[in-house]
Amino acid sequence: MMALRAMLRLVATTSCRALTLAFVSGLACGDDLADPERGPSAFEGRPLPLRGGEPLALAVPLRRLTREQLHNTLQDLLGEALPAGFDVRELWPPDDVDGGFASNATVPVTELAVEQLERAAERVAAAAVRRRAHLHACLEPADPTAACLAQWIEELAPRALRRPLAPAELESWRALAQPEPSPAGVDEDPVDAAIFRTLSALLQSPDFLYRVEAGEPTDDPEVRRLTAHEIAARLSYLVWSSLPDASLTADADSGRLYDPAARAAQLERMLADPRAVRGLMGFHRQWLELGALDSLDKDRNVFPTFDPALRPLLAAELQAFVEFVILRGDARFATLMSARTTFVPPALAAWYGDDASPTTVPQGQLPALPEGFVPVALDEQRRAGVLTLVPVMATHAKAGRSDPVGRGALVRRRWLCETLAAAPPDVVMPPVAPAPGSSQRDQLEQHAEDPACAACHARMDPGGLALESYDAMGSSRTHDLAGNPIDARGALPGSDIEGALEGPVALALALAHSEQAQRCYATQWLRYALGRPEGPDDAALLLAVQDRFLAADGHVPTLLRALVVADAFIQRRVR
Amino acid sequence: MSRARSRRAFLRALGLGAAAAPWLPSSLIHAETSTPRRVVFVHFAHGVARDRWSPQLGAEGLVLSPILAPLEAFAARLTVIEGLDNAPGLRQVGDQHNIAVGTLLTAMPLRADLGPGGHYLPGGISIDQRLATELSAGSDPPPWPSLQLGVRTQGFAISALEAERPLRADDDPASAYARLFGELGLPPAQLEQLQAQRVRARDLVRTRLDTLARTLPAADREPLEAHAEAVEAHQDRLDAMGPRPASCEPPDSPPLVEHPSTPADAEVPTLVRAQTEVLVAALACDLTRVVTLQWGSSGNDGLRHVWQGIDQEFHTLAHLANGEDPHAHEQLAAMNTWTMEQLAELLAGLDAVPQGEGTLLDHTLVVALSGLSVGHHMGDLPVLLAGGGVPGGRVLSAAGAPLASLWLALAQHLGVPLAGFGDPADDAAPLPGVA
Repeated sequence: MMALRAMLRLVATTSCRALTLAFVSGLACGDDLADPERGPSAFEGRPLPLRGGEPLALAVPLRRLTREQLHNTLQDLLGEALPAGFDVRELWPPDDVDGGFASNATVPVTELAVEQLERAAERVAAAAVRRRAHLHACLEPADPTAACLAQWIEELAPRALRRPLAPAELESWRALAQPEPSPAGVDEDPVDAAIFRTLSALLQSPDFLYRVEAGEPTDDPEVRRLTAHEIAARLSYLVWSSLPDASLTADADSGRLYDPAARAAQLERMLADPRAVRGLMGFHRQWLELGALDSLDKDRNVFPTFDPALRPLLAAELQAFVEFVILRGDARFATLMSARTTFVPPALAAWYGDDASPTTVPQGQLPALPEGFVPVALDEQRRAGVLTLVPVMATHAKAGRSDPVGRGALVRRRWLCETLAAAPPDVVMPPVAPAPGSSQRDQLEQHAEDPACAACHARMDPGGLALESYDAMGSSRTHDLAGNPIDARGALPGSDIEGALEGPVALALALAHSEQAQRCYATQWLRYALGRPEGPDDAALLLAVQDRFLAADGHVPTLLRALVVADAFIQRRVR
Repeated sequence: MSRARSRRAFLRALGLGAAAAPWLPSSLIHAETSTPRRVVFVHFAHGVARDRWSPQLGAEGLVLSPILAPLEAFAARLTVIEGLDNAPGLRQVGDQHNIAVGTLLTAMPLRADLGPGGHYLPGGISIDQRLATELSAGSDPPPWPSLQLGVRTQGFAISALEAERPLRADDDPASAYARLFGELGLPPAQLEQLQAQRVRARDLVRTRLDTLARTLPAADREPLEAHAEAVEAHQDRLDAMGPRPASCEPPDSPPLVEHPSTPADAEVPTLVRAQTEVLVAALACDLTRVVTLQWGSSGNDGLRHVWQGIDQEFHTLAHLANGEDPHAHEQLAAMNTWTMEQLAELLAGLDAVPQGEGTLLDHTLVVALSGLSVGHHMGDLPVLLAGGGVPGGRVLSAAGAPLASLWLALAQHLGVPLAGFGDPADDAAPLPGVA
């Protein structure tokens, strides 16, 4: 079963590239690199013919909540019962990434993971026991009534498990939550023990840990319609990266969520809710491959003032920018790629240097800003949009120097949706030791000399070279470390962006208006929503969502709306 | 006892209070008279500075190379194997780092690669798992058939239960310690209470997993069944655990690292040392007989050996070394030497535990290897054997032999002869001359 899925995925990658890049001539470089003499590889797949017809239902794997989703879910579920600043993410096993987004759908739980899940649930439960008055007001007294514990779990369990519970299920949770006399020799408080026991079991429950989508049968045995509460969870995890709130649950109870208009109305409400920022960050951080931001470090010889305390500030800058564009601004992809306003505290402003100057933003357009953050206007000649922000450029760099190959590959993967093959097995990297003092551009020119390298690097390097204006911290520069003047001429050959790109602003603005980049952005949202890479069956929905996104001039809420009103959003293919 | 005080005791028991381990540091003495066979697989990342690696064979035995010099004390029990190839890895096209790590112990090509930033699915059972069942059999089986310990492995597993079921390493020594020794500090009645609660939670989890596996669409069954199986295996192991022998004294609890799965570079040495201590203690107490110890993940994880004053990425330097960049080559050699110092610490730890006529090291076969030799190359891998009763002081030439032949030879030496292992395309036979 898993093998089949893995194979389908490999096939899907190839065929969907053909699909989404249908107007691009030529193949991605990976195909040029396959060496016939090496024989068949598990990574090669033949394109399948596209299947036509309406995408009434799509296959969605069973997903376990990601660390980020668990963090948000527990914040919303337990609120102030969790101590401020208690970061639960690393308590849980590491996430599996599939299709470029964490999905936890590929690697089954192992015994180690069982122990980790157990310990994580216990750690959270024990922390909440300590602040039990915040779990439920009636738990505050030293000796709460049995009825209070029953009430607490009756309210909590359906929220945690994201569905109404059958009477027998509720009864078993109630029974677990009843205080029991402590065994001889144990001097713990029986109510604390009951809360601990119940909460740690609840947080290990498969209904809590997995995105369960049982659905209901339809006329088609391969298609199940999701229950209303499962639809509510699809909406909440897509938009908030967390569990449904009371309004979504009410719309699920009434069955309204089967109505596309009701889902669209909920989407609008949810985007106006402060929780939307978390959800949008969940997508954009992964889209921009910023996983390494949490452990960002720099060579202190090159950046003596780098401080690890910058990491959360960099994340906060990105969050403010995303909120500013998508939730407070015109919400267009082009603006995401071209806005000249960002939000920084003095510690980050220093890295922008002359590129940033104080500005004002109308009250209604201001994102929620942490202490010390102020709006700044970015130099129009040097910065444009999210790709050129310090958090993005600093993450996509080496410790001491810029990384044009890595940055170029990032652009091809995340803006053009290309699958890049790994370097051929026997290639020596770098082919020749760089001459002392040579620029990155001079070094990368060696790729052209070896056909094995040239196929891919001719695609990757020019995009990355256009970002050479930024050093390894994302600061603008005119000379590299060796003193060579920066030459940031670049290009994106083999894409719908033609001709030379004079530096990062030209690159960002070209992407802002590229049809291919906008289609790709929509594809990335679909991957995020499905928890897997796209496959041939997804083609019709993907094209429909892309077309609607383009027709709406890259309006992100319209993209999300196209997703949530689709029949496929409330159904599941279960072949 | 006041309620506040009882709550403190309760919370401390869960590892949330300022729990001071009540044990004093002590030598680890295992009283067992029989001598179980044990094996440890150590993986280190990014290959070696080749010309500083290979030892010479002199009249007096091994003349260790600069990189291997830290192992001097163990030279008489050290075998350096030269020329082994990761044959399936060499044949497979794809992300070379993922292939190098994910095929090392399985000797099978990867089943799938999960794309940028993603992991991979292994192509078969890994040799440590193949051996774990037999080495754990007998009248007094260890509670853990195997352990997977790691430092900054980021989910890139070297072990696999079977195809597509990777066994990831525990990157957090505090977590590994808690699993192995942690609750020894609880008063017996409280421990019993906690364990009883856990059994109830597991029963609920298992019952619900079974129900879901029966009622959810077929596509969901496999992960649910695997999860239920893992819960059951966990419970079975706990049920089978007898009282800990009095001779088994846990080591000091490891230092707490703030982000054990994404540690700062400078914290890596602390984590390496802590995992080594956990490993030695686990073997000394016969809590397990098969361990994988994985230092580093797959590809360019950005790790820099800043504690050695090296500011460039390990991965980058490994690419620049072995070529025309003498500075990078020096730095790779220095990092390799540091790695061998850590290996020497492990061997010394094992050698400090008396066992039978000799030491724990004499009864534990340690295999240390990297999945890469030079750059991205998976041929002529750097491989070491130490301890476990394998004759030492020698260089064994295995030019062109597949790694599977070493795994078969080790299995034979450990008393678990296998009819075959790894990719059938390699038709591997046990490597001669290992033991």
